[in-house]
Amino acid sequence: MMKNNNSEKKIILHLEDSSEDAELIENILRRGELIFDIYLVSELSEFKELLKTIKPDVILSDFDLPGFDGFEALKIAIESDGDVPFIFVTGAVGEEMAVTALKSGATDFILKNNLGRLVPAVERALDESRIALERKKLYYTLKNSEERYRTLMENLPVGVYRSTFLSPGRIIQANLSAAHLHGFNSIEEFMGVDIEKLYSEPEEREKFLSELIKHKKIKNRLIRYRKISGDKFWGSVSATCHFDKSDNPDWIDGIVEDVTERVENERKLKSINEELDLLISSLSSIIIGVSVKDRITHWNPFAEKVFDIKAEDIIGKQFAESGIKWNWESVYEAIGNSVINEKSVRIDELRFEKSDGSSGILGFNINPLKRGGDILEGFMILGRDITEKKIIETQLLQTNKLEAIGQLAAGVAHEINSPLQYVGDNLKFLNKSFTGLASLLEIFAKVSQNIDDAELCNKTMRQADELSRKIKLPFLLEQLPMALEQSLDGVDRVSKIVQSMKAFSHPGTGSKMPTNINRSIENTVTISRNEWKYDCELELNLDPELPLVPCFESELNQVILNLIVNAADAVHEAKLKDENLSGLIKIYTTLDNGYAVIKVEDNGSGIPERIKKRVFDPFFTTKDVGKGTGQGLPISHSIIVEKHGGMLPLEEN
Amino acid sequence: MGYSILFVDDDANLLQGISRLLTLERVDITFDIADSGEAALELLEKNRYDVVVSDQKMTGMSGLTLLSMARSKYPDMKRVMLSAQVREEVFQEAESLAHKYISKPCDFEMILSEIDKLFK
Repeated sequence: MMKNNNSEKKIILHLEDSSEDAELIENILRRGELIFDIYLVSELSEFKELLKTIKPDVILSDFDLPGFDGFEALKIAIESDGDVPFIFVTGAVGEEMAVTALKSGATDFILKNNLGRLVPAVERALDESRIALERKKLYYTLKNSEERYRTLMENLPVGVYRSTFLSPGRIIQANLSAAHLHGFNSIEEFMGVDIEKLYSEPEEREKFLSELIKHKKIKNRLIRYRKISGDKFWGSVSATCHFDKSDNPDWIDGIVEDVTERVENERKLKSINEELDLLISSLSSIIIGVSVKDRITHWNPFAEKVFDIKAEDIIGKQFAESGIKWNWESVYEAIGNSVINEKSVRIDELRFEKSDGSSGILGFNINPLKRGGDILEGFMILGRDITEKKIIETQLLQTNKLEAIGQLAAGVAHEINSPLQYVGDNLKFLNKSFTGLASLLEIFAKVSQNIDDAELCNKTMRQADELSRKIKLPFLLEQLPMALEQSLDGVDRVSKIVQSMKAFSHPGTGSKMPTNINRSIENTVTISRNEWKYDCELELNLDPELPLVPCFESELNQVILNLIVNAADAVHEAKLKDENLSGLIKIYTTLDNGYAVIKVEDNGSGIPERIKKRVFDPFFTTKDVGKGTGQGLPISHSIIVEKHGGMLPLEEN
Repeated sequence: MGYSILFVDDDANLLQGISRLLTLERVDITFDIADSGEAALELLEKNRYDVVVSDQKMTGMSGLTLLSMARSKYPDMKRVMLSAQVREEVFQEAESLAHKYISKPCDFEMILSEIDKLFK
């Protein structure tokens, strides 16, 4: 509803010094349909004061007033409210005056002798005023809203533009963001450029336009743009084509956004993904992904190769029914552990059957997969084919053993050579002695045959006496038992060494056998005697109650030998510094809480603190070149810990 | 011809074996035995020997040490090494230090014939 409708009550301000005229004019107005209050003033000050308190809808004014004229009043009225209709109602004035008044902003000019025009003039003025006011309001509303949209458009972080459809294209309108996107400082500069030049490849625009004609709208099209500097960027454009009445494309409205960062990130992500894919497929490890529902989700090329099952044939199937030939019980036990404890679980040696029927060994890892860190999605199985590694490990073990045997051989040769020397010497002595003794016995035989012939006996006995002296009989009788005993002793020594060597170098059965650890130690001590005997005594404190222990005996011997050789080397090293040191190696066996304990102790140089952590590292050695390969302790560690499930700790006195 | 020998070895059985044969077979040779390098040095102080025959690897002083001390102290005395050592570097050192290097085990006659050769 319009506020200034004429049916509403109006306020009329009347400037008039003649009360009769005033009354007359009011009466004429009342006769019309107008409803109004009328304020009559006759003085300037009064007029000014009143304008402060009321807002008249129309002002009627006489021209000649006491102390001021109608022009002054008009000026004041316009200053107070430019829109209020101002009608002169006056006595006769010159035509020139009337024209000036109207030019000065008066709405109408009515002569008092023609008051019949008054009501229509007032009504018309009111109407016009209302319409003007409404137009003004509308204008402000529009202006406001346009302002708002312009601000919105200006402040949008995306470029907004309207462009022609021509070639070369022109920007008709755009926001600053659009100009900035292309490196322009102002919209004006932006509007001066050929649109084709904004494209990295100018012919791209033609393609874009023809698609736009076809589809009328394009959303989020990725376009390679260029800046005025020549730099390129990726823009995402959404545009609408507008057509004229004859259906020809007229202009384009579009928004464009710089998505370079996003595009580059996507590319990076894509390339990372590709690399990851490449990595996974080139990995010489088995990767199998399994969902919580036991469905296979991943199956990498190496898994394809090892199990000879194609990914497309197995993905989506039940893991348990994949047909892999391995110990499912331990696999599922590990999976269960991994899922329950939410951590990675390892199976060190999992035997499996390869596609060609041969068997291999896998190093196996099961990792629970949690997306977003919380929800269990399944698990990832990582399996390395460690068959080769295991073969090499076995070979290494064998190498270390051969090396040990080689090293021992020289010592053993030395150990055997001395007894052989004196056994040989003694046999030679026995042989020579026997020749003399046999001759003597022959003489005695002659005596016993001719016991009755006293003369012959006498002569023969003299011969015997002579021969006895010649063959040094007392010396022989004294030495023979010792020569025999020492020879037997020597043979015994040789035989013991050979037996120990045989026991030591026995390749083993490949499985654990009940082993007499004490005997293993004694054998190893025997064959290694030459390694330690020049530097130290070796004391055995073996517990006779030690039961047979399931062992890989050959490997156990190897460990004992490594420990003895190390102990002897340590003592040797210590003796180089201290000549008076009397070296001692002690070997103990005991039974402790169901464990067989073997302790090898020496009073040698000890292990410096800084290398304690490294003694079990492969190839780590403090010995001179040619003396040790640094494999003894790591291999011993692997034999005791991995093969026997035992411990090989260092202990300090 | 007769000469005197000092046999050094830390294996008593070996010394005795040689002693028996020498006593039985070679009256022309006088000899002593020592079961260590240290004992040998003491005997060398007291007596004069034409030849010293020593083992290499012994508890205590090694044969090489003994022979090298003997070379500087008794340069006229012949030095023979009788050893089971097979290590190359020891062998080489012994070759330069001893007049003769004999490998154990070795026939008794061969040992004596090698020693005899030293005096021809």
